[in-house]
Amino acid sequence: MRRALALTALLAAAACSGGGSTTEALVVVDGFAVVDAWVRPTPATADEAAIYMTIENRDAPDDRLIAASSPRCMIVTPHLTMFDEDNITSMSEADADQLGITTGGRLTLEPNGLHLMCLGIADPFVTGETFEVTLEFAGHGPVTTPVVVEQR
Amino acid sequence: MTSTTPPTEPTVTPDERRAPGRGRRWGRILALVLGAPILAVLAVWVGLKLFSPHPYSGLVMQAPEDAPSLADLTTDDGQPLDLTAWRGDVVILFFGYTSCPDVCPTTLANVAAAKRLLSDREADRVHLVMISVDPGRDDPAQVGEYVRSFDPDFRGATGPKEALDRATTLYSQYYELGPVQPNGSYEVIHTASLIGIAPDGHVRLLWTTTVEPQLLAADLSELL
Repeated sequence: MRRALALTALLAAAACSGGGSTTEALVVVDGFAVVDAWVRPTPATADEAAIYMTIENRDAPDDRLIAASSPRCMIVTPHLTMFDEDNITSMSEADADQLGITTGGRLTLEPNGLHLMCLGIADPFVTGETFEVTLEFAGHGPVTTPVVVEQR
Repeated sequence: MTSTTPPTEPTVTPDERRAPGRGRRWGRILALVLGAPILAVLAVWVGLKLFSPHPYSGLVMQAPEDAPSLADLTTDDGQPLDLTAWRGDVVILFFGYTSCPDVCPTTLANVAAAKRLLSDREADRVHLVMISVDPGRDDPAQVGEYVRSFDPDFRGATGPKEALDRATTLYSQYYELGPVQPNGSYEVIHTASLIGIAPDGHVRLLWTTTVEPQLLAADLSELL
């Protein structure tokens, strides 16, 4: 417990020194931390949304993101946005080797790249609300993080 | 040259400089030593400003032509899309769709960020129109509502498939509806470009949608 508190204090200090407003860990579980998990609000027409976050492997063994889920999405899959030589954009499911997180490393899910695709949205995401996404890894236990809806 | 006379004191205080005779000599030396390089740098800078083109981040059209009419598309206020109404301003065209999860919202956020980097006077003269290539799900009003969640001045438009096919061909854009998923959803594969129409009504620039807001803002400012 004391160790967990010390770790939290350390993380808070690290977050403050980072300078950004969104570097604080939203959740820390056994050496895995999730930072800055967000999604844009969705229009009524959208069945899909891209969820972004940074997953940090602070001191856990090498691992890999294998799946995700959320009560707000029918399915969540790691996706990759691609641009071909004619700048035509399309998306596909991410390959396993793009989802590794080594010790001390991070997996960045960001606009125009890797993201968690939330498929089958029942209720549109509204700015200001927060919902949960659960990440599953090959070795590490599941990590549930809050995701905030905001327009950026 | 009188200026070669060595000064009796190594340092010159403002009082000494104001002293008659000696002050004038020092003034001449200072003017030569400092003034000449400053003038040279200034001349080069002015020359560069006048004669070297702005290094556009977008692709510059070598033979700019009048932006083809898109009057067979309908805007979010129910009127035909009239590009000539913005003559004298910059228009950015973007072909996308509202249920686009990643690229389209990121693009709109980038253009909104670029506009915020401009002065208010410049920003008021930049008009983005997102043309939805997904009329099965988007009507003009929905596109308008969607883009205004990024910037209150953004506009939306769409039209029947034939009009969109014509528009994308005229502007060298590609789109294709992906396979329909079990839940009825489908992806729209499309060109991720921003098309820049200059104040003279010519298609002048083409940006990728991943262009940095700072670079886009610099290009927009130059176009204006």
